[in-house]
Amino acid sequence: MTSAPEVSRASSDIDGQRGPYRYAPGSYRYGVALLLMLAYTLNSADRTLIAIIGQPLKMDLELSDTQLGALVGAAFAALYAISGIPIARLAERFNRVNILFSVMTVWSGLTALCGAATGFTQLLLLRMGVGLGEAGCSPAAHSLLCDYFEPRRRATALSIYSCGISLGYILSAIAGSYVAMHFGWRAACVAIGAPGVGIALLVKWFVKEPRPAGSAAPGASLAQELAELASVARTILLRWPTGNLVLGLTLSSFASQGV
Amino acid sequence: VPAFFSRVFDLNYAAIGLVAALTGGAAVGVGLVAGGFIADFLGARRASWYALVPAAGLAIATPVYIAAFLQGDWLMTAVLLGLAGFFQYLSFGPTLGVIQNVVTDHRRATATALVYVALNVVALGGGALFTGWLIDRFADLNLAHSGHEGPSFRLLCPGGQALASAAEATRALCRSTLAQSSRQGILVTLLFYAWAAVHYVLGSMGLERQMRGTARSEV
Repeated sequence: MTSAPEVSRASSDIDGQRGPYRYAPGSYRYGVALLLMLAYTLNSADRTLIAIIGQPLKMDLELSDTQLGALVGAAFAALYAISGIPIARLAERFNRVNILFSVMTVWSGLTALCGAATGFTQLLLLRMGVGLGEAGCSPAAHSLLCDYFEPRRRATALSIYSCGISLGYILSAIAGSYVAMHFGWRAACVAIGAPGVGIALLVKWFVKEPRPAGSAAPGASLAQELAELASVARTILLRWPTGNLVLGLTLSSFASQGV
Repeated sequence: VPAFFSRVFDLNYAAIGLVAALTGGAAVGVGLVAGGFIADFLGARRASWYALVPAAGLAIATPVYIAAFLQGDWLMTAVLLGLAGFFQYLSFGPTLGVIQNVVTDHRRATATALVYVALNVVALGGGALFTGWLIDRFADLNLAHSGHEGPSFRLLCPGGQALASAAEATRALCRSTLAQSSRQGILVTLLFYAWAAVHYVLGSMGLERQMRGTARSEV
């Protein structure tokens, strides 16, 4: 898993054996970008909904501020941090559309199920599941989009996709709080969660896995996986240009979370 | 931000939610797409633009954010916050684009996961804690400064409010101290945007070489 697979993949590129969708110009790939943006919209909406319905939730289930904080932040973040990289490793090897379909179904279904929760423990477990599913979305989606968009269009493609962050926030703040106000927080969970299952099916039906069969990363032992991860970390974090960029991104996100 | 609005401007929560969602959300969305597009456009000529567009966005966002939080009028605050959000998020798309362009095909998902996990743990976990801690420190400082002698802010105003049985003067003191401290804590946190801009400028040095190096090893 050092440079050997890359070399063989590169030579197959030169032979013209690219997937039929790779870098294909035209409107289809923008359709893919918009559909994945919609998926990310629900990702962001499901993530932020719990903060929107926090007050009625707290009163109804008699939660403490600490418990609410755990539901909004800690439970979600812990699973997000743990599962992000393993799911990404799967995305290097297997069909990314199927991975997106699976994680969307998990996080959307579990968000809808939050509406049936009767206590703190149930909600905590459900929120952990939501975090686990949501962590799988962006790695697979970014990787997929970069097969559709050539290097000089990737910032555009990834920013269209990332627009889902703010759309999801708007969705949960307006639709989520509207439903919560008129029909209760349980209905809000279902209203924001359930449509995600439909969008997951739409993704599965519409998006083609652009990676040609047989060109995915080969399976590897745990040691090799870790070596590969370390190598990616070195490329991104320890090189001067990208290390500074990631630091800049982290600092600005740090500030926006605080404010 | 919603907490800031309610502490400083006495708006109710429904109005705050709507204001924050619309200004914040819409402006951020437009900024995101604009940032990716501008960076791809300029970056086609010189790759260092992928770092300089974010640097410029953050450098502009910092004073606009500060102006927003020093405003006395909540509508003006909301407008300036939207503007600042637009400039801040110019940085997002280009950064993601660069990350994808310096790794090879089989490492793309891993690269994103690595950066997002770092972001989530450091920024999302630490950001709110840091500002909250800062606001608490400022609250004690302001209280001591106002000539008040006796218990700390936390004891005098548990949860940010004076006890219902407290005198009117104490309640007013709690309110004004909390509002002032929130402003100060947020202003200090805002300087992180300027700090981030510095790193983007530093990162622009050698960026072209790193991106070209990856492109060569890939083809």
